[in-house]
Amino acid sequence: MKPRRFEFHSPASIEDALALAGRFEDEFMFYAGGTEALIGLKERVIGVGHVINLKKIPGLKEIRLDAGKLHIGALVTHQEIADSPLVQDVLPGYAALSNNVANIRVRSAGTLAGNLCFAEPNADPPSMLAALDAEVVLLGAQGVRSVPVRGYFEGPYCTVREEAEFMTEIVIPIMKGSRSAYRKVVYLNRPSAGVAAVRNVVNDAAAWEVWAGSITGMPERLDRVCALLDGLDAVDEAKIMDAAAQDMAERDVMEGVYGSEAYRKHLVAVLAVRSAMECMQ
Amino acid sequence: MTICQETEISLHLNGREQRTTIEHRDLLIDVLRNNFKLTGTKRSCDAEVCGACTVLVEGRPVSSCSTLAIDCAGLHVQTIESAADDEIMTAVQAAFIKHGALQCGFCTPGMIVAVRALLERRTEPTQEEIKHYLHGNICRCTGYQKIIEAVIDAAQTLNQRS
Repeated sequence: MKPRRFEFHSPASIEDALALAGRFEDEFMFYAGGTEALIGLKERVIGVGHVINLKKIPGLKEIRLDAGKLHIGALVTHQEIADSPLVQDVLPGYAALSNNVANIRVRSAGTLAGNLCFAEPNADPPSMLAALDAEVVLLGAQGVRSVPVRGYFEGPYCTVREEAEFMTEIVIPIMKGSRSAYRKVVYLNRPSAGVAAVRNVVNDAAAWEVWAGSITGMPERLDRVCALLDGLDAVDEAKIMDAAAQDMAERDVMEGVYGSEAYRKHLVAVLAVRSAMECMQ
Repeated sequence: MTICQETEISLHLNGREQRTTIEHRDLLIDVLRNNFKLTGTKRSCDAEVCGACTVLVEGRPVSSCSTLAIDCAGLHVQTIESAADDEIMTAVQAAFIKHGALQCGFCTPGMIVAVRALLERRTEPTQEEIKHYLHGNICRCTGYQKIIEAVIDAAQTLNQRS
């Protein structure tokens, strides 16, 4: 189906984009890669009269390392992250995740920032960004604020981002000696479940962050799995499966086309083992 | 407030400068098929899953079913109709025929366009790289093996020439 009629705007600066957002109030959406937006517009679950294209704004396509933090600009696509020698060097686990988002067309057009703004519940980046303790930078009429990814999502398609705030960049701290890995189960384009494991080294001891994604609409920390792994020297599959099952018992997992609640909880346990094993190799 | 919903755009379409009038909401696939009568690009899933509508924008594969035509104004767009004028696509097309890498043919235009982008990126792709790159191009006839063989053959043909 065609989208409802709208007017397409291509402001040349962030200020102009925010001015347009202020002018159209509830009648606009920001647009970058369009891979999520077009699905909603065509299904007419989004019916805005104005689409504000951000792609003509300079300075938002950069990936850079600054003071131990990786900065990913708002217009950087998944494929650009996957292909970035810098990301491959400092965060190979995240480069690999990006290289497996959806398919080559979505990776080529879709941006990481767009993915986080749309907050589709079945998505790869949120759990890994939460495990890495990344932040998103939001710019609005009231100024700039940084929000930890761990507190950014509120549920499916819901985040703390205001409609007229625009995400300028994603900032990921690079921890010396850390390992990261993401494992998922997918059919068609989107994950039924995904688990990101990060093994940090703090004071010569392992400090794990294991987060599940695509199951509740927001990244979920697997507390028991993290605590268990902190004290293990090698992967103990049975113990991790058991800890993950206990963590998942407290979660209300979405049912639907991506699988039953029981199936997806089981996937999380299996993927916790696989992602942890990858970090220990 | 007056809403401007129509505009004239130019595209560098298959090597030629082309102009057409579109609505802002028009999808690239509809502009290609209806305005330019380039019907080689196929609509199938309409949700960026199947790859039948794959075209290249500035050399990158995109789903034309989920790309706004206005967003391509001034850009290079390449479709399956350029196959005869494009050395890589010609070689891929010939390899698909040689290996019988199609049956009904509905996925083939998108498949060949995607393979063109792959061979631009990797001149000697491995079987695993081909599978990974074409993961989002769905074929319900061939079982994929012949497609993979055709891509390897096309890459070899092109490498022997250069």
